[in-house]
Amino acid sequence: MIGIIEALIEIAIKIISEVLAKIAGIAAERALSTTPQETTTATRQGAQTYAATCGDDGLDLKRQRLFFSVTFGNYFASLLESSNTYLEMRGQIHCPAAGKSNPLEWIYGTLNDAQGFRIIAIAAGGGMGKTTLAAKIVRCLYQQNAVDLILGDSAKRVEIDPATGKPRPLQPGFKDLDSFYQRLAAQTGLTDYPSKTRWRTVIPDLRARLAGQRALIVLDNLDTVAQGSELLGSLQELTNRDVRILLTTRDANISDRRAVVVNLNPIARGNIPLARSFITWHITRYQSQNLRLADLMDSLDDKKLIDQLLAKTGGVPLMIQVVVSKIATEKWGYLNQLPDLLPKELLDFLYKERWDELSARGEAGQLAQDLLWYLATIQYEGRKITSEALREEARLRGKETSFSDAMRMLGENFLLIDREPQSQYGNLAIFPSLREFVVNARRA
Amino acid sequence: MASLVNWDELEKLSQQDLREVPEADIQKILNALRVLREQQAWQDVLKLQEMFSSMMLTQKLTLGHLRTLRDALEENAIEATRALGLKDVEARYLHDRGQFLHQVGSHDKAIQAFDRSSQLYSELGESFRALESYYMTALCYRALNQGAKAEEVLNHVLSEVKDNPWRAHPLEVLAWIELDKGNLPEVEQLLRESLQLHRASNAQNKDIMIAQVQADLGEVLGLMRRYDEGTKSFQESIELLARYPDQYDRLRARTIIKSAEMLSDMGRNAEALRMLRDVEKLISQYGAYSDLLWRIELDLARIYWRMRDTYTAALKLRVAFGIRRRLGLSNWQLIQQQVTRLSAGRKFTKKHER
Repeated sequence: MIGIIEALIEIAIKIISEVLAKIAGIAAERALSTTPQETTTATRQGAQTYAATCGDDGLDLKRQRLFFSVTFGNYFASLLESSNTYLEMRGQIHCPAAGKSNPLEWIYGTLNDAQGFRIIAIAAGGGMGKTTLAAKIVRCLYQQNAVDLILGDSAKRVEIDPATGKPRPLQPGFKDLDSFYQRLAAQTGLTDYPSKTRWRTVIPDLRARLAGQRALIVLDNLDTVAQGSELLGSLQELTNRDVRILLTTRDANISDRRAVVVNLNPIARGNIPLARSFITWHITRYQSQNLRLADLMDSLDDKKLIDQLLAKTGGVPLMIQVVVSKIATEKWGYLNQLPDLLPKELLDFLYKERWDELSARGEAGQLAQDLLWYLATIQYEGRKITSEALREEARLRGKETSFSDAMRMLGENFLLIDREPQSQYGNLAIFPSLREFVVNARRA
Repeated sequence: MASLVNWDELEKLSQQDLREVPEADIQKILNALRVLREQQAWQDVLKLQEMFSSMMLTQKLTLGHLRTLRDALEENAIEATRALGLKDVEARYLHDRGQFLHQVGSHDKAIQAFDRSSQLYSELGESFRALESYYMTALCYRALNQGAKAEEVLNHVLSEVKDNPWRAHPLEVLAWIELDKGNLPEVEQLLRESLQLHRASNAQNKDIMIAQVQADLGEVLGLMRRYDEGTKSFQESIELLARYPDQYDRLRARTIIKSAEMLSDMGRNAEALRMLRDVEKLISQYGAYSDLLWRIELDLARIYWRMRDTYTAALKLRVAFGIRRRLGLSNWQLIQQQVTRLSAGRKFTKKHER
């Protein structure tokens, strides 16, 4: 009898707490029902913002690394730890809502403003720097203690396994909205849901759990998620004065009055000073891997060459970087050999050209291909790849004597990202587009 | 005979900080475990468990794939000891497993593990170890709001260790049960007795035990509105734990939560709120500790209520109740317990004001 009474009381408590939470939610929503558009100007003037350089330094995640790597996967987590990965270029970030303000500073401001936009969508094609910009924003807000919680997921976790071409079951990310919200809830400490719990049940719990906390939910590559638009729609239920969403996508088709789409523009033809500053940044950042890059500094005054480079690459930052690295060995005449292609096709062309070139360069070239394959595979697993690990790989293949030449070829022909340039053996990675190419090339 | 798994690779992994190991490598350990289990290579299952046990225990990993790994290693190791007839090892593993399950809020499962551990130790003639495992069930019963059952266990345990300084442990838990009943002076007395025994002992973890009791003492002194004394207790607890950086974070969190509760009672709500937020960050790096989390959410509800933010208070209460419900804990009993404590504090203060 007592057991039945207690069970009934439990049910009553559940109903009362649900009703209270519902009333609380409605009241809070009404109090903050002013749309961001109506208050944009006031918001920008009153909100706490940070300089555009904020977030340039890598985060020292220390013991929070477990949380971040579980949340975002090692790829995004390591981007958070890297310094100076994104160069702010005047005019690249296209955000009409920012008016005359610096767009990056405006983004920081609106994310910090109780009445600011609730969803920031960074939309652009491949190679434009969406993820690196998102990582910079996260770094800044984290460093400034502007957010209490960073949650989210990187859809990169559901990429195709490079080795088999099949979805990899080891890092499932999320397979549907139910599993996505259970993952998100687990990141806030809410666990033990029955496996059949629907996402609509979890959302009110999450809202309540996040109440009183400033949280940023990051979703990288929304366009690669099968139920992307449904996911975005559901996430809107979570946003409020303190909870914001930052997402990256190739598809800018987002219509919500509380969302702002930030486009990333390529470097425009004729914008020589901007292109020059970007190339200079690239040379400074990568010259330790490709010594010949430094030789290009003197030729950056030649406006015609820079303009030709912009024409060939479409002004896409990643494309410029790839081509400039090649120019360092082939000289500027290389531009004339490049076909006029759309950015995606051009990138594939560039990668194929270099891959074929390695095929023709004997044992060292073959080893360079092997090492790229190794990087493509291991990086997918999120493991740290040092130069010593690559040397070991060369030794296992019985090609240790060609290692230095192979590394030089890689540095000259491909962009190797060193996430820890200050450490003795570095932590190397390649861009996702190159990884895809290498996997396909090997399969072919 | 060829090895079933790549031990060199596993050995290398065991020497790494698992917090930095990618999920794919954790999967390798799980795959190795699956292979060994399928082949009923029980000795190797134990070897694998031993290889990673210290890492798992020190880091108290409860998040995502690391939680999966921990569960798989521990459960398979227990099965292996059973298959091999290694009663002493099985008893030890069950005790450790029980402690972990209790920490993450799975009290029912923890009781089963402790009971079995106690039974095995008894069969081996290790009466004190059997008593230790049996004593641990009291903590679980108390967490499940079965105070009478917990008290029964504790009284039995205390009757067995009349002259042993180890009785400081059951005395402390008995104090918690008295606290649930609202008998504040008795609680203080029991805690002071426990503290005295801990101070006199030569146990290796003496500092930690004193830190834990001081946190409890701080809590009860706070309820009796003896804030200066309470502050001193919390201070000693924090100072002792500070001697062990990177360890005992769960205990550190517990002290801070109790200290924040007292600050809120003193009207210093903003300070209390900040402390609770810091605690959340502290515990989030290890994973989900549902038992601490519902308490934090309950305290937040109280603080927001006192700050007249009823909306947020209602939301926080909802979260606390939800976590407890999923853990199978009674919310009605929680309400009863909270009311008892508050009224006991008020009664005590009124009595002493007169």
